[in-house]
Amino acid sequence: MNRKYIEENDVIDRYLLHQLSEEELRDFSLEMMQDPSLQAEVEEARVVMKTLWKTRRTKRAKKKFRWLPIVFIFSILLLGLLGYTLFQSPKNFSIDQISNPEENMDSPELPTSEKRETKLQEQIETENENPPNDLPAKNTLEQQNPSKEKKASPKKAIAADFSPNTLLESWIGTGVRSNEYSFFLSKPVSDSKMNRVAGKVDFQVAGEVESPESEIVAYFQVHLFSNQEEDYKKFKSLYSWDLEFEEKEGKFHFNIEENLELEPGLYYYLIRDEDTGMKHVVGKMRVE
Amino acid sequence: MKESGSLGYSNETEFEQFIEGLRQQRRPEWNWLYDHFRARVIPWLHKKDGRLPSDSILTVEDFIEEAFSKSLIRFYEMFKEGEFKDLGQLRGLMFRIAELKLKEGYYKVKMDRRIFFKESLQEEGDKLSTETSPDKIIEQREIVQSLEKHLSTLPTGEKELLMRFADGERLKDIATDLGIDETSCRMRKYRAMKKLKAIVKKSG
Repeated sequence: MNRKYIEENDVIDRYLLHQLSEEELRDFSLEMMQDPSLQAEVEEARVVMKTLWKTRRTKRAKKKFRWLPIVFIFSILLLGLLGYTLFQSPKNFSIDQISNPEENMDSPELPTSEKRETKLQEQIETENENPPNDLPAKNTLEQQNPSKEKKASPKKAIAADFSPNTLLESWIGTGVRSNEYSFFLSKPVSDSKMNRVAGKVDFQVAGEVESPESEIVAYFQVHLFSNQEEDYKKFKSLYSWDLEFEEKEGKFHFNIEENLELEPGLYYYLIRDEDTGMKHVVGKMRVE
Repeated sequence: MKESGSLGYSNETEFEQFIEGLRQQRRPEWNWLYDHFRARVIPWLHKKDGRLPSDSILTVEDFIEEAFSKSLIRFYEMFKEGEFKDLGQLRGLMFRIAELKLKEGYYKVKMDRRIFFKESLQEEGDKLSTETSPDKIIEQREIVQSLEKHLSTLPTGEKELLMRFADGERLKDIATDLGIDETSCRMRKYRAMKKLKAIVKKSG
């Protein structure tokens, strides 16, 4: 197969589209094997073809999801309707009923406007009994006991028990490996016990990655989850950190050290490729 | 693919004659070896495959074909330098290279996702800065952006022609739908592809 034949018969494009006959494919492959300039041409055409494939796919995806705005509007309307229905619930319905007191004769529990006025009056009186100059004293008390203030953070009180998260349990120790990266974790040891010191735990994720390439282009994150399955389903981690690598003698090392405020409970950590969603390491730890 | 016909001698027992034929660039020997490799390496690559991300631009067929062709190119480079005593050694070398090219292929798929699917360089700025060598990604992304920019300036008909051609549709069918004859359809496609390839060449 010579150059003339390749050009006249559109062989490069047809090769990329798998449209060559067996004989053409063999001849072209052997020609390309020996000719670096032809290899370069194929690579150029491959970039063009990939761009076209990408554009085509984006267009298809747009077409595929064209109905999404309709679904969105419909959902909003449905939510609105639901909200309206809830607004009509007995508790709020009483407001309407107040305007018709005769209909409420059998509902002594429903507050009347008079009762509400009394409640309001009581509230005002209570506030008057606690003048604003009480406030500094209250603040001082909180300052003396800062841990109480920190407990208010919703992040830290999630893991309340030691029941296993079945969604993550099955991944532990399966050694999720890709063809590109193999993770070896030195810390933490899976299923290890960690003791809290002043409500805090020293959490460390360290290890190394083997890669056939000279660099790691993938974007990895470490995630720490509570044992609540709902959190994992929504991928709502307690903490997440980007994994950064340091190359030493052909291996890529990583180390994350954090002092975390964690409640006693069972926790799961995982290292995930954020581009593919592939989990490379999954382990658990108990905080006591 | 069927392996090509007999060489007129046994390349197992008369390996020296066979390898001499390869070194002399004799087409029957190379055809035989190509078919021999293809019949074994392609199914093996398919067996090894299974990790292409669902949003990969490449199909499995594209991916395997690319890995095979790159293996063959590398095999040829190493063949020129090496000494071989039997067919098993040639086959072993090809399989080792194929394994490596498969890994490289997965790496490229991952690179492609960054090159083709990140809309803004700024968005990815932080992520890229942690990589040891983001230059190549940025360079490739710029090429893709130039191509996309050019594609967006094309008249609708021409763009449709290219998209459908890249989809594997026959030019005859595209021509009928666009209301033009096949020759001018082929010519339009040729010109448009030439322009796109020139953009890559210039940027590369």
